[in-house]
Amino acid sequence: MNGFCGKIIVFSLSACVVSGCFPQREGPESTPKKPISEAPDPESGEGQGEEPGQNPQDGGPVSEQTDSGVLTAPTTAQVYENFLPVCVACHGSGQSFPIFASLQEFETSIVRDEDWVVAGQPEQSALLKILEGFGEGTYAQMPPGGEAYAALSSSDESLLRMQDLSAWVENLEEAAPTERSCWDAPGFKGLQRLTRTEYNNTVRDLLDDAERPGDTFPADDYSHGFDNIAEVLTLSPLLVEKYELAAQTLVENAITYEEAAQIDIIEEAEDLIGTQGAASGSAWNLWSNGVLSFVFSVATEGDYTLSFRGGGQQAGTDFVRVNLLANNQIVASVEVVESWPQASVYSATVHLLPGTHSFGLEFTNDYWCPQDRFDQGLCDGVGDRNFLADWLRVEGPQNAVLTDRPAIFETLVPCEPEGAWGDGAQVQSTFSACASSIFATFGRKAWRRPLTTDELDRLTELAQSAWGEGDTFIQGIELGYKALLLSPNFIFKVETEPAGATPSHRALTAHELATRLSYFLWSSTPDDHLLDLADSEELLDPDVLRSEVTRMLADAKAEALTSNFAAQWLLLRDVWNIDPEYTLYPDFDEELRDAMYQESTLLFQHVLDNDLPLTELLSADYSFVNQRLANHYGIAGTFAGRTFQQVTDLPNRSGFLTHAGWLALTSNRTRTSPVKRGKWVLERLLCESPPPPPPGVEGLVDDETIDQSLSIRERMEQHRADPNCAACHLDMDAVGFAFENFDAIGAYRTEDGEHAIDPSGSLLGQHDFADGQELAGLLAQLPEVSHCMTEKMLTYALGRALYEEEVCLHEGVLEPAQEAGFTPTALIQELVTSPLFQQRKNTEISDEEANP
Amino acid sequence: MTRVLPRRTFLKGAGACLALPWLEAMSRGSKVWADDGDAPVKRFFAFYSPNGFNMDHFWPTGAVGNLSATTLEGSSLEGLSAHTQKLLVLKGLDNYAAAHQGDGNGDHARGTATFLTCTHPLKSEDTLFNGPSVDQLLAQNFQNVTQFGSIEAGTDGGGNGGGCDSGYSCAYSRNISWRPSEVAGASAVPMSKEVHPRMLFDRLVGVVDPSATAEEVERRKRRKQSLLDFVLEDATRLKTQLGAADKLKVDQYMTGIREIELRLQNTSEVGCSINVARPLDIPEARVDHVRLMLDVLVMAMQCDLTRVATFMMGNAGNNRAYPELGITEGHHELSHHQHVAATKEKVRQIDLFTIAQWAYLLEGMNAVTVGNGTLLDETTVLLSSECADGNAHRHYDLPVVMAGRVGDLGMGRYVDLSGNSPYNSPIANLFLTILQDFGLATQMFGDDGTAPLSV
Repeated sequence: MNGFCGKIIVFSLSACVVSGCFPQREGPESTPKKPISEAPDPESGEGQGEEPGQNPQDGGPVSEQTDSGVLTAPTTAQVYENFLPVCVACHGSGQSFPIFASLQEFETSIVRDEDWVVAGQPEQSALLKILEGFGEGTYAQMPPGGEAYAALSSSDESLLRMQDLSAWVENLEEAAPTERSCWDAPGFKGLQRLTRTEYNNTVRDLLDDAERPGDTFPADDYSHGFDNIAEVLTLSPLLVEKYELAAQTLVENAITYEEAAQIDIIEEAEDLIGTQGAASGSAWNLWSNGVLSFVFSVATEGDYTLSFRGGGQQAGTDFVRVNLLANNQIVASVEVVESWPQASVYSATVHLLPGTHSFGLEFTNDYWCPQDRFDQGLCDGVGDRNFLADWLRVEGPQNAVLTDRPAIFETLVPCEPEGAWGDGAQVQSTFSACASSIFATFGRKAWRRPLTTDELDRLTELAQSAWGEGDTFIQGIELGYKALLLSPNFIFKVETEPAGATPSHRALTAHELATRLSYFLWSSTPDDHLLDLADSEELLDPDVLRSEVTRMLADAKAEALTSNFAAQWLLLRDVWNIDPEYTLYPDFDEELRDAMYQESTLLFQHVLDNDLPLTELLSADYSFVNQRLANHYGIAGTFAGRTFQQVTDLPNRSGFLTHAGWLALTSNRTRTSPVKRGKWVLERLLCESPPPPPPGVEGLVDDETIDQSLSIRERMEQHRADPNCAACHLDMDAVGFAFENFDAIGAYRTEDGEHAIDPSGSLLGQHDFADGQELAGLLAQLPEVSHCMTEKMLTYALGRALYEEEVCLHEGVLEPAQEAGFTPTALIQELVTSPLFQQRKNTEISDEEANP
Repeated sequence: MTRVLPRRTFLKGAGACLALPWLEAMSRGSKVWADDGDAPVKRFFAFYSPNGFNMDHFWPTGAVGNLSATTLEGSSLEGLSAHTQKLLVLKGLDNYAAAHQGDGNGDHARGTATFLTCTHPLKSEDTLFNGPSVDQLLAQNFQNVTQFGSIEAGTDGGGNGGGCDSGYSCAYSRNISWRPSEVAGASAVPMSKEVHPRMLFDRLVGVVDPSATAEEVERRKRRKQSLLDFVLEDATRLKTQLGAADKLKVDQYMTGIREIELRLQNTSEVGCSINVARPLDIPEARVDHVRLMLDVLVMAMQCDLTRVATFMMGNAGNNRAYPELGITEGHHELSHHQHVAATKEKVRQIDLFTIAQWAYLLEGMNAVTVGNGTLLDETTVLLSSECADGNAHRHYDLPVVMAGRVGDLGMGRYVDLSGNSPYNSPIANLFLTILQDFGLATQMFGDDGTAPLSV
């Protein structure tokens, strides 16, 4: 066995896992997955058509006595047939590790794999060790449970003995150099759209919009434990519809052009009631000093034009004099010189705040001089001076002051050409230049790269099409913004591929790299600093990239690594779904749930902020509690209520695996589930996925063969007597039992009902531990765990599972990171400077295949 | 007085009864269909429930033959006795595509992915491959007839993380509707569903600005059209810079944009005048949530906004508890009943709940009068699950009940279609029957649909 991968594979087999140390994917050279019509026919009886004779490794005739009486080495076919009857039950076609599906499969997966069989060196061959019961992986022996093969074969004449098998290995020809190569460049990754979380964060950063429109999108489908796996992020019409709605709402929220909507209110004077006078035809006749007014409201602060059309019945020496009143204050005083029915328009400008206002006309110099008064010398000339108003009008605003503008408005609309709020058709020439600069600025942020001249022209034309139909400048800008946000260039994280490209690699452009980096660390769009480094291509310099990682991790947005990466990896979000049965766990309440989530989040954030080794997640001898959680943990002392504080020397607890949240999210509603806990550790910390139980045996068997009065550990041990179950359960259960000291809401206990708890066990059959705390410490030390943590982070960072052949690249990230203390910064810096992150591979399928 | 109102579009009457302004113009009777002349209107509604049923009590207690309230007595279908003459109970159908066929575990995901596709899906978390579903093939027929080719709805979105079912992407566990790709040989695309009743309602009714003038509405429409043109052009240009696999994703995007476009051009062609309360939030009680969704879906059919709908009452292997039924264990957990009587009884209680919701749907459809009959009479309604008995994930002898109409098959009957052995009476043949009834000239469906049912 050589290398790290080998150990993992042993482990995989023992845990009856589908894949090796990495998800089994087809390499870039292989053909794409075929339609299912070509799936193997279950009736065809795979393996029966094999022709062992054609196999170059067949050592010759069937085993026979030589003259000397020494048994010749059996052939591979004989070895296969020897094991077949016993092993096929668990390793046949369709099972998770189907090495006995066919002779060929047996050869490929076992005989020619040095992790199992080293030709000529029986003592180096893991297969033989495991048959003797001394394997290194989870399962020391095969078949699992009961006697090892070595013991079985010594008592069963029909089985090949260990010495025969040694002779077989001894005689095997050296395997041809293994075909499985280690790539020095990454495998294919498909076009990736934004996830809901990424969409939310992106519009938060672009538009200062915190309304999380992505939450209304259909849920993103998970693969490999994450919601950002490129290949399964499909786009249904429903989703595209939601994009359109979101673009609409986002732009309206950000630019809110209606705040500056022009009002133009015309009141016919005869429809109003003055303090004096009466309606007279199409006018109101103010025949004495008095006021004719109406009330209106404006949404926007700005200058409004108050105007009226009116004339006078002139008399005496003066013309009719009228005050224009705004809110009963005189704005202007005018002489109305026309003699009704002649009339003119008079106007004044007033600055109004948003709200309700009145506009009034005050007739101030009434003159009334009938003959008798004239005769008495009381007035200068016979006549009656009256004011007749035709209509009153309020228009505006000009110079609008958009106090209600969101702060982002000034950023989004940095230039406002004259007439921006008026009819767009008038002044298009100044509009275009301004629009183009607006789209260039925002487009670069939204599409994460500078826009081409052509793209800018098209956007400006789009805005123009609106102006051409009488929309305002701002409305045209809005249309452009909607287009930028609905465009596939925004929805997808585009990495282009030149037409006719061969399946080769290329380095990412600086902007593509910036995009990957930003969505990895922030789950959001690149900021200006990062885009500047991309524009200048400085980002392509690994040293610059490393320092950019440091800068970005210090930014508050790096919180996404906790809330998006860690919460998915650790399944932490499940804390929000747990629902412990009230009658059994009356202590559970929403405050505790919240504290559970906080504690684990705070630990991860603490590791991140202080750049501590990631394994500290498992081994931390401190944690973060508030009063509620302290009570739950039985920590004496008073805490500042809801505020969390760091505490050390927690009794019986260290690291995430002893956090109440994890202990609860891996429990059932009514009891703990050692299986769930064990499975979680295998999947999330060791990157192994035990398959679900075979049909019909799911869940703890409650039938009469199991003594229900036994402890859960004893019952499960009985359950495991069935080798079908044992194969997977041995290790899962050992890990799970370690945490039995914690109940289904993570409270410490020493007894489960009447049964004393025995948390001791052995990790992977190799390391003994006394309890969960010790196990957590062991796990923190285990190389498999840091290997797996790296794999999880790579999966998340790349938005795809790793190819098996990428193991060297994977280790190329892990090893230097470990030398640097396996801190988040070290790991992330190695990751983003790895070819896995820096390069992309062109599509595997040709155009012809996709479009036959 | 003339006032120019702010232009922001908005939905009026939140929470109140909302008339559908742009729908009122024409009543059903005066409608001129785009393409089907006087042919009877046909509709399809598939109702999915996870985890199978307790099969001991599922089938009618009476013998095969004509259904009556008596023959349903004591079975889980008892709650449907008001509709016996409009039911067709089909025993013995199989979905071989859902069987493992060497792919190992993952029956929930597989049973769900193949629920309406009858196509064995590729087991993968990296590459999706599934065939087109029957509802989506039907929907293609109505693309230019109704506002929505189809509507996909359900009660559950997605989980918080982790996996769904051993080695299958969650897309398989959460989608029964799979739209055929425009590219031959490529996988069908999962049609994600709406789970929020208000959003479903708003989507159907559209955003209405009652203050907008006709000219204004026209102008907005043109504006939206130029927006859609722009992004389609973007997509076309983008495609020239992508490899073949990535082009498929952009195609999915373009399909979505074209659907919006189509709807933009079609708004005035539907007729309906009803008042339906606009739902607010997702109700707390499961039963209210389900019924609200079903109400809106019935409205969609009644207003002829769509003729094809699918509804998922939960995702594959759903493990919610039913405290409202006094059941504190999860549904999936219970469905692995290990033949324990008490556990099986709890499964049956959940079954009764599920079937009551389906009955509610049938009643809703039956209450809408159209022509000489009811909405139910013109609809092919399916009730089934991802498997038969959940304990062993059986994919043969599936629980299948049809209502309304099924091609020319006589309703009001209980029919046993069991073959000589498991997996030789394909449910795909039922779907083939439906496809042909809707006028699709196809002789094959899924992996094993080759002959329409004749019973």
